[in-house]
Amino acid sequence: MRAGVIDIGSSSTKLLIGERHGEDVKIIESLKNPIPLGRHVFLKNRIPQTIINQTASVLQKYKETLKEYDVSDVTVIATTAVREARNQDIFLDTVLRKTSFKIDVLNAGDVVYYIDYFLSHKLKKTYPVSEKNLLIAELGAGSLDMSVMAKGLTLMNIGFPIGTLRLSQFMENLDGSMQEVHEATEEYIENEILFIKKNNPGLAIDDIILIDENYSVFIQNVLPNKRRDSDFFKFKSSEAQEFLSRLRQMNPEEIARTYDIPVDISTTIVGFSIILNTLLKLTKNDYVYILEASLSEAILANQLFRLEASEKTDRLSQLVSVAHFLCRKYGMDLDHLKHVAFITEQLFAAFKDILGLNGQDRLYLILAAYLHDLGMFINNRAHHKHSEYIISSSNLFRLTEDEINIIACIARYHRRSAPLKTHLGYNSLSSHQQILVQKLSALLRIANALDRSHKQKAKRLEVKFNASGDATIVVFTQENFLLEKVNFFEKKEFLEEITGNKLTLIVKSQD
Amino acid sequence: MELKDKYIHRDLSWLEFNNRVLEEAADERNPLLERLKFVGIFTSNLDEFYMVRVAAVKKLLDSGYNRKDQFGTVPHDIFMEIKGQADSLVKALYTTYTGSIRSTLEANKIYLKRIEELTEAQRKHVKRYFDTTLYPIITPMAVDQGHPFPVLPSKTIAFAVSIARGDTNHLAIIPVPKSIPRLLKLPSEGEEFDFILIDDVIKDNLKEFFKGYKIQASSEFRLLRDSEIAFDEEFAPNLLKAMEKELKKRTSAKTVYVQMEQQANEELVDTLCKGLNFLKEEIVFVPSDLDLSFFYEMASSIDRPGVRFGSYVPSKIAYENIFDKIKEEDFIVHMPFQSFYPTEDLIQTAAKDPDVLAIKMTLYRTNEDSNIIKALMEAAARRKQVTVVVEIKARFEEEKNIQWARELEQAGCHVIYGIAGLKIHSKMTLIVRREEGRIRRYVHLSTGNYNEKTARIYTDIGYFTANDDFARDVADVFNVITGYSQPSPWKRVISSPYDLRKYFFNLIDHEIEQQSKHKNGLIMAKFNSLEDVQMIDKLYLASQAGVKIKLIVRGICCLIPGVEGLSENIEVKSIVGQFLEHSRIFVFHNNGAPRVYLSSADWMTRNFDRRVELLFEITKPEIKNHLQFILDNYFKDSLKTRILKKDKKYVRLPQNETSFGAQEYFINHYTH
Repeated sequence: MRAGVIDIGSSSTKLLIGERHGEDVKIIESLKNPIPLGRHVFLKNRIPQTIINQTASVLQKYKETLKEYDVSDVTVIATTAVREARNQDIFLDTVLRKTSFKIDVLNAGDVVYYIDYFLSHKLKKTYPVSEKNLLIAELGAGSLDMSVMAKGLTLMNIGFPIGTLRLSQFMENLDGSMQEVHEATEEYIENEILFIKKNNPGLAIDDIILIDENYSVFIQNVLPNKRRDSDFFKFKSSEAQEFLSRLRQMNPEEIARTYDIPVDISTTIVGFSIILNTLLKLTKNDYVYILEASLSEAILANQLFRLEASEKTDRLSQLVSVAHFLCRKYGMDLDHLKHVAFITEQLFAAFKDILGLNGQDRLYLILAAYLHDLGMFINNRAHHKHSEYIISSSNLFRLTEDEINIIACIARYHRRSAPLKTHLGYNSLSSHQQILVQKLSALLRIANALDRSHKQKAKRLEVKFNASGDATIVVFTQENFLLEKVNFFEKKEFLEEITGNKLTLIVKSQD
Repeated sequence: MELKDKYIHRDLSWLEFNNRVLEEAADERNPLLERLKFVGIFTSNLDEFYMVRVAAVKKLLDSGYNRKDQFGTVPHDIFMEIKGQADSLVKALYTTYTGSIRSTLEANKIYLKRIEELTEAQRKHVKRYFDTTLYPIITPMAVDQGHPFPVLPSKTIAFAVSIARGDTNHLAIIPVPKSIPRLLKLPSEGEEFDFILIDDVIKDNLKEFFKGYKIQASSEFRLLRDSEIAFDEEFAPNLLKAMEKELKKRTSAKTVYVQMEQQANEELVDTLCKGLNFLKEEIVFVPSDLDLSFFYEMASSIDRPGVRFGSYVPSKIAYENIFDKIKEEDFIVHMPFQSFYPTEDLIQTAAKDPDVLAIKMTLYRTNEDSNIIKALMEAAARRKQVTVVVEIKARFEEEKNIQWARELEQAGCHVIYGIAGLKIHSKMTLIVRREEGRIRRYVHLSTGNYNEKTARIYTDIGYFTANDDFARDVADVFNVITGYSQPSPWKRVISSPYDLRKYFFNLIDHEIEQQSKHKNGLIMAKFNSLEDVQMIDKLYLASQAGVKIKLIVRGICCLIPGVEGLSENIEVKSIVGQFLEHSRIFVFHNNGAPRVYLSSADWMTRNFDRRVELLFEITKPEIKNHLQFILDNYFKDSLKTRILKKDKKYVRLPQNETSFGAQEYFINHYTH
């Protein structure tokens, strides 16, 4: 089995062709062409026409190479520079027209997704990824993408705009002595990265793993006594400090000359070194792990081993773990939210066919069930509005902006109010998505009502339909269910309007 | 130390090399026809030297440049030294030609006749040949006020003829046609071979071209022009077009050499010098026929035993399927003692094999009607991905290269015309094959070109492997050449212009270290030219550290061996024999665990800095041992070896019945 990955990065474009050899990926071809997308996007927000054409022409060449190896399974991805370019659409369209390659523009969540899954596969025999709480960082030219994994599940992911190319641009713009520039850069990076710790004080991290494909290979040039036994190795705090102190005394030309490092690396290696040292401040250990690998390799492994299906938990479990993390972070009543999610699942199963819903919609509903109260963190009053923007601003594992907006809107309408023309989030959705939001929020309203007291009284639930389609929800409980019942009658109207049928509640003692 | 005492000037060293070729022509122990070939080689070598090196020095002189070069010589001095040495060589050539060669020819009943020596039948034959073949294709060119002196292409042989009608004198030029053989074979009796030069036939019939005129004088001359192609490749995005344009310019480049017959008419000489814009004192006058390269033709048109080197059939490596053979084990082919066939077969089999997906190869110099080119075209027709990196800048073969490059393109091959500023001199092939659903890659690397004809007369070594480390590296080298990728670190292959010199330096440094620790530093190498001053200095350093350095350098060698305090541990030999020594083998002793390399590169600055060359290490013990065996036998040679002495002269070993010839030994070794 053979596959190819084209990675349109911020400073270079790459092609990897690999084959599955047992449990390993054998790289057959590895092409790299420097194309300075980031240099333009990070300064002027646009990709110039010449660079678009240059990219298309390189991709044409890659096409020839893919033919040489008879590879038809090809993934083409782009990262920070393309993602941030204001003329992204033109770029994607031009490349599609000229090369017929459809580019998948990854966000930080996507990057982390591939990396996390790759790690589980790659380190299967070396390191117990699924037993640890990890901070995983992937350093690119445009951004540093970090994720927090708890026992194999990704809790959060953030992309920091401090990729090595960006840092070198930042440093170029600082007007000061070399020492002042380095200090300012350190402060800047610290401020970004340590945000994770400040914002998540309870975060327990066992180890940090930095994924890097460009710099670590030159560590030995700077620190000749540093031994690397494999492409996964520990880098101690003392070594990282020594590494930085040797590099910071020199300008890039001197670094290149003294340590025999290519100029494109020597201009950005100080940034790498500062990031490395800052990451060490996030761990109680005196080392970080470095894995010499690339995003392209991660995606290639994913293609060849179809990790998604075979090796890891499904997408819902992954997203639920992120939702749990957010609920804890905002001090939510997790028992209540779990219970609401439990009820929505029952309701979804019952109304799925009537409402014309599919499996993906279930995911949105369950996530909205978990996240609908997040706005309480700001204020109980109008908390549904606060929930909407907190969810909209959150990075939910591999969900697109549209999907996140759908979940935010479901949460927005979990109370009484109905969508209006003035509601920006709702109105940015397509009409199909809008009606979906209405259907799912109607279900959420019922589920939320059935745990109005936050006491998880409903132990079991049944939904029955009569011949005319009217529905009866039977709740089994041994507790006083009056508050829930009152609330149910207030909230059922919306669902009745959508289905066109009556909705009744019967409370039964638990059998 | 003066630079002149430290290095031999590259141009003078080159002339020394051509002197060794001339020695072979003069050596009466060599079969007659082989001596004729050496005369031909000597002549065409010298032509190339004038068109390239002398032209370059002349350019410097014309521009007023007067700085010392890396060998410590200013242009004027080197020009004078070259002229002196080249003139003596030409003198020696004609002494050999008019002396021992002509007498041996005659002893073998082979005659180069003059008009007056022809029999009646031959005279008739010649007349008919002139009327039917020569006369129709020759156009005399008048030189007068309305007709300036014609632009004659390089290597033209022509007659300058002074003609008169009434009181008016005219000059006319009659070129000897290049489109037909210069040597005309005459009808003869018995075992005799009779020839005549068409120059003589034309001269005898000059009056036919100028009816109504009186011929007052005529003189034959030959000219060479500056052929160095110089254009800024950085600004020539389409190298092929730029090359075509440059070739057109070549006809009018500066004249760098004029040869005339000794008895040339004084007035005509003056007129010619004016017309060709050439200094009279630089004209080379020769006592007999101009341009002795016609001896190539003569040698190939005589079919008689005993006057050639003994014939042999190159031994063939036995196998059924080339892919299976390579998969079974890495192997080498030592040409011309072993057949070039596996290389040809690899490309031909790949072209037909349904599982082969892609073929990539470099082509530097190849032969006309090449089976390899045909196979590449067939592969493209069978919808395989065929990438051919063509080096159209291979000197003096540009026009030919452009033609077959176009043919390859038309056949559907992806033809890449090299990298601006760099010549692709490495010889490599990569074949991508699908085997049981996986990719398997086959690599062929060689010290010599993909040329079926030279594979019979050049000594080279080809290496076949299916080791994927090689495949990855070679694929990467192709990707860099074709502009598909920037270079990445290579595992098994070292390449110029990136890190070749540095890599060799590290190996030499390591040997110096071994010498200081174990007193056994030893470098043995065989290649074609040693001219890079940095490398020479490094070798001097190693010698001074006690490392023994044994070199076989066939051609230019600017290093002076055996000088106390500088190079007393270095010995340099040169082998010039039946086959052109072309293989490049490098062995570093490494305290008894030798490291053995093959390469496409010589130790010349251009190989390190301006060419894409490959060096690769052989690790398989059997092949390492075999390469060491090859090298040892070359060092044992006493038949064709010359030793470079510290006085910069080459000395041939005394010959006797026990003299050992490495080339002869290899013929027997591989065939028995």
